This record gives sequence, structure tokens and C-alpha cells, in this order.
Amino acid sequence: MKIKLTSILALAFLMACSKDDAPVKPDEPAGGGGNTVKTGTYRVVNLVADTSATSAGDAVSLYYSLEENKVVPASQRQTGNWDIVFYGIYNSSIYPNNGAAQGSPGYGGPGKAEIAVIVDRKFDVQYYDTTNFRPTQIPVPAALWNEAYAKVTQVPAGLKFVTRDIGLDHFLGGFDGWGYYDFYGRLFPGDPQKSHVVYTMPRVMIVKTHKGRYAKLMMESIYKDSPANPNRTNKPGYITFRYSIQMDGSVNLNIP
Amino acid sequence: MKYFYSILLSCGLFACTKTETIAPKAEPGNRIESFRIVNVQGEPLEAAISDKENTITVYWPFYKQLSILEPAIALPAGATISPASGTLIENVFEALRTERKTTYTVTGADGSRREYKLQLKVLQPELVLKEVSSPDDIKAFSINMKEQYSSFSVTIQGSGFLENNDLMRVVPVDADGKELPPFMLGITNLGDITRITLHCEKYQEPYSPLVQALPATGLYRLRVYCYGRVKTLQFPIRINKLQ
Repeated sequence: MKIKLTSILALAFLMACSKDDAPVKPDEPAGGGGNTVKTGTYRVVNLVADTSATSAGDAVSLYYSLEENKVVPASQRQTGNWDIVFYGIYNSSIYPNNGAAQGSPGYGGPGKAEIAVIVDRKFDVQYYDTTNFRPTQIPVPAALWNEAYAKVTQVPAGLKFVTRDIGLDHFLGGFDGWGYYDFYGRLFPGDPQKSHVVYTMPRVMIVKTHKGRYAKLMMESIYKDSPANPNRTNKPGYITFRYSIQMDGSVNLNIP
Repeated sequence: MKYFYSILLSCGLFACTKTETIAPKAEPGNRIESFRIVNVQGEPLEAAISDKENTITVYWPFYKQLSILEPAIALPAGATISPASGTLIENVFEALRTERKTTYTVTGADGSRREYKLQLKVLQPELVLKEVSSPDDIKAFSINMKEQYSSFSVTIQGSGFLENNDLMRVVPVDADGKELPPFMLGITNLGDITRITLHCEKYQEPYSPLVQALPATGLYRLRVYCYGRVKTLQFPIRINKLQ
């Protein structure tokens, strides 16, 4: 019985994933061909951003269309063909495609996208020191990721959207973000392999796409094969995230 | 007398019959009705179309900093155009710099064809460059290939630079008028549009295309491409590559 249940669960898991694991081809010609996705949950695994990235400088930016679930060439940054870009050091800043936002990658273009991060301090205390802004345990318990994601069933009323980036949490500025950058390796004193490591946290972002549709999005990892407890030996530049997009234009994000 | 009036009257009548309404000549079916750049904030940019010169001219202010253009083209019924409406015009800075030729071919419903030339015009302030050298004082810069790390920087003062390094390119031009690969542009003066700093550095292999292309020594005039403008310094600098 136990085996049977496990295999059913495994099967269910595989089926759930089958939609998502379609390989992403960065070289696909873009151009808003109208191949939009259906309302649903998608998971993008090991999307190759900039695998030669170091903490010393900006990585090659990765422009992504949530409505078409694909990478868009950087030359099209001033078009409406993308929704978010993974930008900056380790591709850690997620900017919306907003042409009115000065200093943002889509500046000058037609982009109307916006982004917000949901911060729920009552939830955060389970893994996070809300006074010193850093995780209290690594790895963050796996169950919290699904819980945080499932909790967001619609765009919260009064959520404040921004046109700047959502990035590393309270790093070089007082903004809440999706990941903790342990610059000095403070969480693991004495371990030289633990400085300059980015830990993702169970934080859900809401993206209003260029075309005005809502999606919830959660970063899972920036390292190859998403290690639960990454260190310096893990390769950065492999982005894994999941998102659920509502194509009917409503704020309903109760999407299986 | 009676006859006289009749004659006058009939003259009047005849004069009136001369007035005719002539229908305007039909517009050719192979023309572009409108050409709008739509990937901008607010109102689209409306291009000027000349059916006499067969040109499409897109004007825009430099501060829009467009690096790609997405046209929406309207045509008479039954006409087609190649490249199609919506086809992106990529790498606009390169198109401006190299005066890249783009032609649109319209085929009317009757099969007749017409070619329009695309002209890109950025409305941009003059680019003014202060000379680095003077006839009596040719400034020299060196890069030493024997050292593990070697570099030099050149600052050009002036006005009309952009704060966006992606839309500027500075190349040395040798005595034969040939352009070498571009310098790296400094980011410490971003936002200062009165100066740009050029860097050339030798560190780890592969070396930059400029370091690879430099011969042992040479005189070079510096050419600055700044979005829709280009200017070349009058007096050269010397660059030495010490082996």
C-alpha cells in the first residue's frame, strides 16, 4: 500500500511537471508570434543565464516573456515582447518591462509591466529574522515554499507595484527581495565556501505583464540543479523559477 | 434688342456647360499609407512618407534612446509589403553608424511594385570634441605586453555625449583611414555628458580585440560615434604597444 501510494504520488508529481519541463531554447526567434500560454502553472528549470558570471560584475541579462514562456533576445529590450528581465549581479535583479522607468532595462520602449513582492512577516518568522533581515535556518524548510506559493490565491488588494527591480533582500538598500545574499558568509562562520552565496527564500512576487495580465512568481534557485543548501562550488547562472499566470485578465491566482 | 438678351443668355448657358467635375486621379495601389513606430511610450512616432522621393523618414529625439524600432505599416487594400509590418528594425545604433540600407518593397493589388528607402534621423544636439593633442604636442599612450597588467586611459572633453555607453562607440582611425576595434568606455563618468573616458587594457587572454589589433606603434585619430552623430578629432594621438 505504501509503495502504491508513493508511486501514485510520484506519478502525479511527474504529470504536474510534464507541462513545465519543456526545454527552453534561448535562440528561438522572438517577435510576439502570439504563441501565448494558457492559464496555468509553469516551472522553468536550469534556464541558462550567464554561467560565467562572478560577483564582480553584471551578468548577461536574460529577458523573459511570461505570456509566451520563452527567452527574448536582449536586442528586443525596447519592445513589448518580454515581461521580466533577470539583470545585474548573478542575474539577481528582476526588473519589469517598463519603458517609463528611467534606468531600467526597458526604458524608452513601450513596456507597461510592473512587479511587487509580497511580504508577510507573520509567515516569514518561520525561517527569517525580521529584525536583522536574514534567514534563521538554511536550508529553508521545503514545505514553506509550497505553502507560501499556495497562499497567494489572488493579487492582494492594495499591493504596491513598482517599476524598479525586486532583487536581493536588504542588500545595498532597504528593499525586500526574493533572496538573501550572504556576502561575508555570516550564516556559516569559518566556512570559506559559504561567502558570496545567494539563498532563495519562499517569497512570492506578483508580475503585471506588459499586456496587463497577472502572474505570481517564485524564484527557486540561481544554481545548477537547485541545491537546497548551495555553496561556492555550485554553479550560478542557472535560473529555476515557477510561475502561475492568469490569462483572463482577472486578479484570480488560484491556479492549479 | 430682344435678340441681344437671348444671345447673352445663351452665352451664359454655354459658359456654364464648360464647368466639369473631374474625379481626382486614383492614388497608386503600391504606396505606403502610413508608417508608425509603435514601441515607444505614449503616441507612436509618425514617419514622413514621400511618394515622390520614395522614402520613409523616421525622426525622433535622441533622448528616447531607441535601440530597436517596431513599425506598424498601413497599406491600400490588397497591397503587401516586404519586410512585413511589425518586422523589427534591430540594432538602430549600428544602423545609424554604418548607414545601413533598408528597403521596403510594396506590391499593389495590380502587381505593380515600388521600393521605399528607409531613412533614420535622430534629432540630437551637436557633438563637440576638445582636441586631446595639438600639432606641437602629440599625446602618447602605451600598453606594455610584458607586464601582467597594463592599461591606459584617454579622456575626451566636450559636449553632447550621452549617459548611455551602449549608444556610444570610440575607435582609433589609423593613417590609412581604417578603423580599429573600439575602446572600452569608462563607467565612472556615467551621467556626465561633458566627458568620456576610453580604456585600453591588457590583462588575461583572450585580449580585447583592440589590444590584438594594435601594431607596435602608430598615430591614430579618435572617432566618436554618439548615437546619431559622429565626429573625428583633427589631431592624432600615438599608441605604442611594447612587446
